[in-house]
Amino acid sequence: MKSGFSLDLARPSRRHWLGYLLLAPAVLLIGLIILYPLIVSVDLSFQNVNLARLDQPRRPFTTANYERLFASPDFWNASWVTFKLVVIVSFFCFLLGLGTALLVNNRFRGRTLARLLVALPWAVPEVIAVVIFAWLFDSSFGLMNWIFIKLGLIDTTVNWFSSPGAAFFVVCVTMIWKGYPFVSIMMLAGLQSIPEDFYNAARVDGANAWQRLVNITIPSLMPVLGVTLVLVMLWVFRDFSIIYVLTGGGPLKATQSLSIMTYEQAFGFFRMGYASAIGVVTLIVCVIASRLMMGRAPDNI
Amino acid sequence: MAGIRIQNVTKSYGPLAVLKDFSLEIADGEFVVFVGPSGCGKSTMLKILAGLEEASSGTIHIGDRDVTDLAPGDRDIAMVFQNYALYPHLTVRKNMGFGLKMRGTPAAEIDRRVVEAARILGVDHLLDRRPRALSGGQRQRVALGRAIVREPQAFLMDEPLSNLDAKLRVHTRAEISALHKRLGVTTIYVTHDQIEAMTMADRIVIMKDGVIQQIADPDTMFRKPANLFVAGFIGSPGMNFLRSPVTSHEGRAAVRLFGQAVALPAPASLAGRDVVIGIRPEHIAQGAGPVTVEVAPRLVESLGSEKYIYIDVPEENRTTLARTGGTEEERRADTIIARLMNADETSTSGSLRVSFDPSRLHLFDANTQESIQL
Repeated sequence: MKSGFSLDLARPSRRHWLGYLLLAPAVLLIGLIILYPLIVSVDLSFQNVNLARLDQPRRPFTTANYERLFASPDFWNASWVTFKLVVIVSFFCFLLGLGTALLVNNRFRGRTLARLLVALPWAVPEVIAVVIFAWLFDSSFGLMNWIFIKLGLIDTTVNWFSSPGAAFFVVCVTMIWKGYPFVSIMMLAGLQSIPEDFYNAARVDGANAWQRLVNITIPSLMPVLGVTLVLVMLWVFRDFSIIYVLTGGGPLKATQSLSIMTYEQAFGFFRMGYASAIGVVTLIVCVIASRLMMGRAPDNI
Repeated sequence: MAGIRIQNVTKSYGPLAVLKDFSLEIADGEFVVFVGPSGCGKSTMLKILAGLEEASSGTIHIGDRDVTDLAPGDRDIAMVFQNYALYPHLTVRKNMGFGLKMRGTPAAEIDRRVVEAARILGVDHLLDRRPRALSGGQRQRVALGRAIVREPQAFLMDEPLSNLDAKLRVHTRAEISALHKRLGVTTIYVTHDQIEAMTMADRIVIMKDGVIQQIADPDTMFRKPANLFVAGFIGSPGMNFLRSPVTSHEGRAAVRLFGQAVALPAPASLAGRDVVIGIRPEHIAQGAGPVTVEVAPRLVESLGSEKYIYIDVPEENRTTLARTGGTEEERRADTIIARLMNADETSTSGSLRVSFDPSRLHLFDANTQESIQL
């Protein structure tokens, strides 16, 4: 046996070395592409920088960005838009997601195809989905105007992208369409982990279908529900491409969420420091919100 | 409380018939055990009784009501599941009260009955815990409690002890029997364990491949098995089977076992028939007796109070009839087991003298597998 410097990772006392060794590439990568930019942007948010360049000397420390931010009506408007989006989109994603999951969880002919169709919007790239919806809601050639007029809901074509309310509605519809399959897939996984005997026991106990849903299905889904809610909320919170491609934040900033505002400040007006400050605030809100949601979840099961 | 009448119930999944013409009359307050190897249809019958599965044909009456096409909740029965099916998000109190709540019983009444049931089962100190904080035995009691708070017409139990360890199973078995005596509610209990069936049942229904083999009380089941399957299934270890041609000897039937002619307490008319002879391991004794044979034990297992002696069977007595299922491991045709109580020191080296009483032998027709009553 060779002794000395040979690196025998199979030895019990060295076994943890192998773990670190295998972790190293991932840690390095995360450090490089997530942690480092994060630190840079926090640092930038405390400087009065317009066009950030790493080879330039640091500007003096200032909280001016934050002061300006909290005094700005644009910021509060974007916060309000984001909040509305998060609440409305999450709510309908859950309603649709749970509903479709319950449907395709049943045993019927063509179930595999139905499951595939439910999951389909999730597989469509965001930008393509947005282009499709932009056409659907087009004021001159769009399908939606035609349907609404045929149904007698409206008497003249709606210009979906120039009225603040209508534009916000279109953004919501697109995001719900794009977001609910994820909820559906998660719920379906959750539903399949509920033992059949729970339902049998409830049926013997005389619970009807609605009582079984409320008393067994929903509580049993709680852990999955919590995690999924956090993921969906975070997705809505930071989603950029749908709004940007659809409305660009307009009209009259009616659909300008925090992520759109960050982008506009950074790459529209080249106020990198200011944009970083918005980003940092968004990050803090997200962390707090998800902590609150996750903190509650384990208590339920 | 009520009796249950099952008439000609069948169940098939497409061409596969899992229950063939099941009829059974259960008296009010009776404890009936369905027993059989897995896949014999016993659980299916229980599910049909509960209304969780539809019968392909036949009718079921609970009390005077025809419940054949009634929803499970309208049958007024309670069921205990193998894995207990306790809702993990509810406390023990709410789990037990769930059925009453679904029926719109007032909260005060629910609470009274839950506390009462919990007291009977000795789980009253656990009422505010969640199921995951309970041990296996405690969960089992809560599952029983959930059934008894409902005060139903009948209890259906689907292998409720199979998730418990051996010691707890024996203990809980006795408790369920005691509970049944106390409450006097008609109970149908499904198990694959013949010991549970023997110890708990007023009557046993033994099933195989969807067909009832025999319905009898435990003693009759043990003493007068209807066929080879029942004989091999009931008892532990199961009955030994030997084969021998039947001859006539001084006006009585006789067989040749272990090289000896053994006269049977049966008429000579049996001669020439193809029979399988069954002898229970318990009925082989040490020392001399009516029929004494000298054997060389192949293996001796000591259980302390008793010993299992594995004895080689002579070529002429070996039966090729496969042992049909049961909880026992498949036994080889060339070995029989003797169960000797308070046996002396025995070893596989020497030879051993054992004996049996021909009146204790069971005879079965080798073709129909039915018992031949002596």
